[in-house]
Amino acid sequence: MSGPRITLVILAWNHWRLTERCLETLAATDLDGAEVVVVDNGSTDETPECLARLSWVRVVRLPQNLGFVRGNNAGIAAAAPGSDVVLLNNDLELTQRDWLRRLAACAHSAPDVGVVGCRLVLPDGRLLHAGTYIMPDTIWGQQVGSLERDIGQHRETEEVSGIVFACAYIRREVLDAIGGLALEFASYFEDTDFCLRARQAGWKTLLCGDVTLIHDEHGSTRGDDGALMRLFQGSRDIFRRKWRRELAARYRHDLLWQSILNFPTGYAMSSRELLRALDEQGVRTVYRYVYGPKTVFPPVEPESSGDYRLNVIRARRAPRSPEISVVYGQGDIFARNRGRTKVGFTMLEVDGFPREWVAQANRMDEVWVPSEFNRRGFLESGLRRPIHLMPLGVDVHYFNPGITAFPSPGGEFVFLALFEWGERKDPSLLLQAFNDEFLAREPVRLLCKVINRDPGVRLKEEIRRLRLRAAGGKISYLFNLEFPHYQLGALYRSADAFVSVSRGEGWNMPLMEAMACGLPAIATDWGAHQEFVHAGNAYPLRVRKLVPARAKCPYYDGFRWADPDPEHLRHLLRHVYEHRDEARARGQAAAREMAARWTWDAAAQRIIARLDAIKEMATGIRSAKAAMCALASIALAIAALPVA
Amino acid sequence: MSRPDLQAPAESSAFPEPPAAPALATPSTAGAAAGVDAADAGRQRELRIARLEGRVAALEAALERRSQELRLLQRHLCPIDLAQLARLTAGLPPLPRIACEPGFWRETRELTEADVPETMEALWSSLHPPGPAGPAGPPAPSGAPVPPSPVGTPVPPVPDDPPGTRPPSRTAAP
Repeated sequence: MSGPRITLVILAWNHWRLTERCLETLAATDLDGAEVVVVDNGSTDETPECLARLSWVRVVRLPQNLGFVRGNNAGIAAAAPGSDVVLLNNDLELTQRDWLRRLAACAHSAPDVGVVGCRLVLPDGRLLHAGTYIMPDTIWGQQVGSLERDIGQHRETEEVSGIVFACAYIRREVLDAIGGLALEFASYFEDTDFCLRARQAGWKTLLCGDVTLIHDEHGSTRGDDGALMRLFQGSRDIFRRKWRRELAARYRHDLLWQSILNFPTGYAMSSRELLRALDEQGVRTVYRYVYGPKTVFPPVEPESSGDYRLNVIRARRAPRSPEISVVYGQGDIFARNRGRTKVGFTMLEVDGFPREWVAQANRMDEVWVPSEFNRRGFLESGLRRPIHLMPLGVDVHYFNPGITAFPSPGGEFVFLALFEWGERKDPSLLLQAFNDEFLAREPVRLLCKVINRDPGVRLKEEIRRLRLRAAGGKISYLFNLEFPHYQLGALYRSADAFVSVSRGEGWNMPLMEAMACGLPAIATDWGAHQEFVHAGNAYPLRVRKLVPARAKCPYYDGFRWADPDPEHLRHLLRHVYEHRDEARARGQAAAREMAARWTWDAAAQRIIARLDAIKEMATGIRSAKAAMCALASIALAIAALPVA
Repeated sequence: MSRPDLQAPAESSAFPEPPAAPALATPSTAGAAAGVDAADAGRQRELRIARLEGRVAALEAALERRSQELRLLQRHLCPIDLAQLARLTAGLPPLPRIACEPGFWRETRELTEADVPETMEALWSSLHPPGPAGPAGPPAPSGAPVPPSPVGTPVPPVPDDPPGTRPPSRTAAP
């Protein structure tokens, strides 16, 4: 092939300073012989004269502003024959020297990759874009990760539904197959439209997470939001007519999800993640708050979850008689299940389940629990319904070893623990063991992120009563701080090891998140987390025996939990501190395992497989009923025949 | 002091000007002139005494005000804030604002929204506080520069029509 392999197309309309900055930063990167074409979309400022002075740029001058779509198509048409095309907005700053090489490598990483985008950040450092999605309910494009602080999330390369065309690497084969941007869109939605058309033609759209560019969003059109909105709404209507049915058709299942979303609880957090993953994977979920009157939660749940997808799911109308409904929460609210097929999904931190939970579970069609630990406990407590394992997961976009760390500048080795102060998490065991095992002069510290919402607990007094030695291991606390969940990876990454010495767990999300971040973890060798913790990826803490679970929680009455061994804990703390290479390797193994097996996508797939089975069963039952009816009709017909 | 309302008022300077040395009598003065001079000197002394008494009264009033302020602060501020005040008045830089030791906690059941980057920086700075002339804090963390916090940025719920009024990213629209 002769000529350049790649053509960069930059669309410009006035605002020469933006174009100039874009070109200056572009020139400082490795272009590997790529040709740069600037499409001047009828600029009336100094843009034409200034561009004429740049010998390394080929200029395509349009007589007037033809808009985003036609302007870019003019650039695509002017691109060297056979070359791939990279569309760039002129309000980009290219600060990563090898950005183009990485995008090209990503685009050619597989034969079916067609379009590649990258992470975009705002000039103030916030993440702007890590892919896009559009829900058929609203036809309003959303950017993944938008306006979150950049803590290094979404740095992996993965398939996405769409990307914004502020930066889009398009392989020549795709352009040859489907042409340029669709002309029915003057501006807006043409990028998602292009990605969808490419997908129809068999090409994937990827987000190349290891390329990040700065996007001074709306640089060219700032100050005219009214005109933009008109453009946007016009294109939105066109897009709705063109793609709504297609977008809606990707849903294979309908599911009513009765749970909790917008309160700070473990069920709510995992509920959010499961709903997102299920929706992405083709389950049209409708959500309803299951708590309220006669429960410990307020009668009404706050409306906004802070997440667009969840808000849409929450706003969907619930069917009067849903085919399948899952109640995800404590077992004593299973009775609120409204589905024709009823599923109760729960977990508990002790070795059995309360009588009321079992009674309500026995009125379900089936029961789901995340762990074998709970499955055993339920069956031993008298459950008579089918029970299935539905493990929870971790979001590896936000919890992985590449997340930004804020390590101790003093070089101390930091053990991290996250817990709500209470009997189950057994903080006194950890604090005492750490303080006893280490000396203040050793460069090691235990950092505890502690929450206390119990008005009956005076934490200062509780800690004072432990009589921790000033000369013993140093302990610091982050007290009653609430971090945005997406930032927690940065907290884990700022430590060297994680400790969880609780007496029992229904899943142990912080432990899983820490392990996904690559931290070697010490964790009690008893409870639901044994599902994903073993000696190959963590340091299981020996349990001396099971003891009666004494706590304020009424659900634990009559059951048992673990009594972790303090001496073994001291041994493990010292061991991890002194064998850092080994510990690091174990943490890395944990991160690999979490990413491979324990994602929310994997959790959603398990649920979908079960929904498939339920559907199949229902179809089978319906067919059997139909067959029985047919047989009965035949029998009746035969009976009605005159006897010869 | 960083808080203007805690700054000492002008009349109650922490370092009031020292009183001037009394004027020495000149041996060569005589007669009426000497009488006039003595009267002037007396008047001046009275004026000076009155001025000094006024100054003392102003200082006492300022001191009383300050005492009231300090009593108020002591009653309402948590220990870390008092420690900060003490450091500031001693000319030391403030500690980072993080309550990482139980002694500095205000026992509460409320959760405080926070961001991880600032919290960690403040934590490490509080464990390795800078000296009077020392650097402002620990070295910058790895990764991208830390932008201002978006915490609290409201994400509107989904109505019939979706939230937000700004269309998504675009350039070179007509």
